[in-house]
Amino acid sequence: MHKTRVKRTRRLSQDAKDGWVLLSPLLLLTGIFLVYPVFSNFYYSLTQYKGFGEPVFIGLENYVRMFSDDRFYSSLKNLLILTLYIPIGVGLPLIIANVLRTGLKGWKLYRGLLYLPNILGPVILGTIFSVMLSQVGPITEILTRMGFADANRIYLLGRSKSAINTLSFLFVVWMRVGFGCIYFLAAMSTIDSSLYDAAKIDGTNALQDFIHVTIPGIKFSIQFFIVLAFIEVFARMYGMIFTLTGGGPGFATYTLEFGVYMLSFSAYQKGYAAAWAVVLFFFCAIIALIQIRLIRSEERS
Amino acid sequence: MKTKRNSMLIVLALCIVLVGSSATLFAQGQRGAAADGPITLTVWNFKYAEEVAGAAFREMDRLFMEQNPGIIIDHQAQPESNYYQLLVSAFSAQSDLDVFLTHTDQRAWAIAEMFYLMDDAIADVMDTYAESARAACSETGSPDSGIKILPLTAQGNGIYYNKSNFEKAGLDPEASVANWDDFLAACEALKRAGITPIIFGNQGSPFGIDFTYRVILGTLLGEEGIDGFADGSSSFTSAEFAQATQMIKQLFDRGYVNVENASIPYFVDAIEVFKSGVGGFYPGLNSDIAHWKDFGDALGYENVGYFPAPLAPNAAYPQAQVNQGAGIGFAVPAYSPHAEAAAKYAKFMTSGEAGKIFMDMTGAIVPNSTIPMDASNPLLATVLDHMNSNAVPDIMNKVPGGMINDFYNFMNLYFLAGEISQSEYIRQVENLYRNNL
Repeated sequence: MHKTRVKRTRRLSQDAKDGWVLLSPLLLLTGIFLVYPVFSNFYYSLTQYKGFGEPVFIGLENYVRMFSDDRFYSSLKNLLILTLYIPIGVGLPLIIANVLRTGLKGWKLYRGLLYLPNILGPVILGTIFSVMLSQVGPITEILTRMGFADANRIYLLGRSKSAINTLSFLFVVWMRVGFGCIYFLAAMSTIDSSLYDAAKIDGTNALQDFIHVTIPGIKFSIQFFIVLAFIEVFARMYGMIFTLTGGGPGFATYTLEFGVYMLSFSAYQKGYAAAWAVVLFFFCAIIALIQIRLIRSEERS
Repeated sequence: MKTKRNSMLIVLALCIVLVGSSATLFAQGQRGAAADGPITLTVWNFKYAEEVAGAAFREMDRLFMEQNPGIIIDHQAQPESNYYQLLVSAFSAQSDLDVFLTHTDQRAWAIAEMFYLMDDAIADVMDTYAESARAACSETGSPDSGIKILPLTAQGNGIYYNKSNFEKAGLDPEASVANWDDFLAACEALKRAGITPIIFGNQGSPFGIDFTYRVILGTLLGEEGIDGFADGSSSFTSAEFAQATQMIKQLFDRGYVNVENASIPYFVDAIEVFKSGVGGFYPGLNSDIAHWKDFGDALGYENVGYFPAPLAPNAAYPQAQVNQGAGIGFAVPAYSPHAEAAAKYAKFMTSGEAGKIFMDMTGAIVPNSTIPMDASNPLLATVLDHMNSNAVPDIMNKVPGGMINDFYNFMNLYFLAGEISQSEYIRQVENLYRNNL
């Protein structure tokens, strides 16, 4: 008995060793490209550094400066507005996917059209919309020809409130509808059709099917999509902001991520940008923790 | 089991060797150049993709390579929109780069510790470069030392006007309209005649507002006041900046700047609009983008007028002409293994035959005595006359480059959206300035 256990332990130990050997390249890469940058960024946030030459240690000065910088607070406020659009950005593709699931004539064509924004990507879309929505752009021209005399006064990207709301709608809602539909359709296809049959026997209508069968059936997928939306808002918006509004007017469309870029590469203040990046990392870490928790709870269930 | 483990270790070792050798080969490839073969100079240029300037650079390169058979020029176009970000990244990685075109403003000076000092390389021809250009290309501001950029162009801002449209509006095209009241009266007459008074071009970056600020502030602040923005001794909360702001706002409030003429991109839409004969005034550039040539070729040189700035009644420097000394030039990264050859190339490109090619093809004013300007053109003569006397620095060359994008965003918010008060606008601009010093 004792001999067998020793043998198994030794064998497991050998398996573990092999596992570590196989894991080591990935661990090395993770260390170099993920762990090291996080720690080095924290170090740079305590320095004055242009991105080349020697960084000069200045303690918490960058953080003191950040907490008195209007751009920082505007970024937080804008991120809050952007996140308020996430329920629409999740709900809309969910509803469309449900409609498509129940069989809409020509749904494959709709699916293709809806997915189009994802193919183009944020930089191209930002550029296209900056032209489309300009005061002398095609939309203004069409409206003017339709008889709207002051159509060029509707300058969605030129005023603070309309700029952040336009950006939010485009990035959080419109751009994600296509991917959301495909994602939710795939998730819905995993629901056992007998559940819908059983609901039908109970006399449910389409709305009740959606609320009581579909949503519970793809709960994890919805939660995951919400987490993805948060990640995109906090850490993947730079391309669209840069091409669509340049962070303006004023600081109306600044975000932490955009600020990190501007401070780092436009103002050559990499130390100060690193302080912003630490705050951004803090938000991303919270989102990642929620994501991990969701995955674990799904595994448990 | 043992065989399996050994196999895995061998695979792992091979992977490491493969990655390591690839990285080494890549690094070697990056640094290029065989020890005894011809030298290849990598040149970055944000104007190389432009049709006319690009053709000029290609011709200049051809000439250089013809005269220097041991040197090959690999001239690469780079995007202007994020050019300095690319430069900083290249410096950080010490990428394969030997010469680069650069502006002479704070975007360059903020990273100038990475530039090669040219003093020795140009010692024999130092005097051929105009003194003001040398000063603009010196890290210390001295015309005799600290030179890190070799100037390809002079640069300045001023106001161009369409004389034909003046006549149509009943204005005397030869009478001065520089005084503020005369300027406003001319705008009013043009407006009444159905002619757009000013072509601004503010879509994206509001260059129309920016260039008007530069020239008005030049006449209000003078050299000392403008220079003070380099070290924080001048301030955006000054009465002069408030006055310049009010003057520009007046143009909007009176309807001299409207959506059609202001909401198009300055480069190149607004330029094309003015070239097509639309508009009375145009806040333009004098050299590396040579509007005197652009507009003269399109409208006829006799139909284009020029003056340095609209003048406030209390302008302390009424003759002031904004002159950057140098607009763009060539520099060499300090780490370049071919720094001497690179400096030789920069020297060649900014003087003599090559400089003349650039001047002739683009209309740029090259500030080098080996390239005499042909001032027989009356419009160019007027521009040169102003540029060579009463020069004041350009405020945008003095303020930190890191504030420009946000400054533009607040110009949009105040002048175009009209969302904030003047005092809030000035407070924000001053904050941006102090935050970036």
